[in-house]
Amino acid sequence: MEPEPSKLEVRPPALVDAVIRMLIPPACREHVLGDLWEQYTSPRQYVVDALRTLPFVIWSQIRRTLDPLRLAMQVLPAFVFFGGLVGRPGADGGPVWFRAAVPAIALAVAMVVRDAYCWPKYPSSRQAALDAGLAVASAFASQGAFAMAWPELTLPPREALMGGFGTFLAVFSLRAAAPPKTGFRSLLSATGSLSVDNVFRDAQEFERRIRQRNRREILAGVLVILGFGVGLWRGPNLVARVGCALVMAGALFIIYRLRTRAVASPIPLDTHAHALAAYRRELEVQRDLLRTVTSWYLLPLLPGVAVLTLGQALALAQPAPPLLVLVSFLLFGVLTRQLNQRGARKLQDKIDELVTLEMQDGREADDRR
Amino acid sequence: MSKPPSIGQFEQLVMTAILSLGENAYGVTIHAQVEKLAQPKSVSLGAVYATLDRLEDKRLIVSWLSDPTPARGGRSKRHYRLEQLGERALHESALTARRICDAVERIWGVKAWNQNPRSWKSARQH
Repeated sequence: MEPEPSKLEVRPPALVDAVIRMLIPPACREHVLGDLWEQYTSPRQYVVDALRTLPFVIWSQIRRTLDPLRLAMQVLPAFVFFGGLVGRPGADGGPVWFRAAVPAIALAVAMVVRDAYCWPKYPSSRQAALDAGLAVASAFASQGAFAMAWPELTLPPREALMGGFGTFLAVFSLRAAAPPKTGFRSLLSATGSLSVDNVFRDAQEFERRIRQRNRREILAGVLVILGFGVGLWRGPNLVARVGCALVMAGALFIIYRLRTRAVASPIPLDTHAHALAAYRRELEVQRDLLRTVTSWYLLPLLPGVAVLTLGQALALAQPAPPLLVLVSFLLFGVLTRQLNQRGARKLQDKIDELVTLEMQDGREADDRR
Repeated sequence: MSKPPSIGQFEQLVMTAILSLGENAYGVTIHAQVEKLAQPKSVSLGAVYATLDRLEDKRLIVSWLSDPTPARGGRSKRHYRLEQLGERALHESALTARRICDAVERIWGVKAWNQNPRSWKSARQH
């Protein structure tokens, strides 16, 4: 005889539950799904409740993760790479900027939704590559959709492919370097107090991220040196070649700086006090590095880019397109600075929390004595 | 000491619910408590989540995940409690609400609380 189904086994149908689980952003999936389960009475009620809840949690997650600065740093290069500044006009003479704006907007929408559905943790390089792939795919999808209705407003295949490649690199490097914005997340434990275990985990994760970032930046620096080395050899005129040499020198300086000042020191995990102090010192070093990003990261590249722009303008006998590229480089530099300043402020918040924890530890040690 | 940010009416309801629930403040219980406080209006669970996120971003409340429970399909609860800044913000808005109540009572009298204001107002006009 088969056992009677227990009343405790009242649960949503697996397929419905799986679909709803997929639709809830991961950052709030655990507790929202748990709450919906707790209120479950029938499949219909479950679906209705979930459908009424979903728009709010998705919107809330978009609001929490929407980062205009980070978004601009993905959309601006996409617009430039798809020829928004220096592209050739189409056969119908339609505006060049509009043809580049379509894939850039599609990319923006895809990245906003993607950020809302990100796991709230620092992205790995693999994740950044997948996100960049999604960004390019959405840009291409917009071209496909436009090709059916308004083919005159689509990019020529060669420009689209070149733009897609450049966009992939730009989105990848940005997303690998800058994590998505998340809501305020403190180092509080379940008891509501600052937990040393949380701090240890955080310290190890931070050390790993700094190592990854340095490796990535050094690789990018080497690629810049190689790329501009070709320009140094095949540049259109002497001014452009000098510009390439200056960019290479700037990239070398950045690599030198990363190797000497930005190396992650291992954080000793022997005692609480040692670990906390070392982690706080490491955070202070990285905070200062982010605060001074203009002087050691952006300014060293600027003379080279300016001279190269001049060289290109002389070679083309048309100052406007290279000048627009220079302006977009400057704008990108300003955005990079802002992003790093914000990163420095976040590190400062964490430093403040650690100082509180160190003081708590000190008081407890005094009490024990 | 930083000045607490001003909070809206729905935020006040959610924070009051968290305060009254104490240790047991999580999504389902907060929603039930807010529904009680907001009567006769009904409130959706999603609106409560969105407000909880906003309050957490303003650092008025803090949250953490509990251990998973079988009754919830092995999923954790997200518990909430008021931060010091949140307690001050709620206190300030409660004082404002009390001043509003006092002013209304002075003008309309005590019976204003027992009747629908619209019907009471039209009765006065007659």
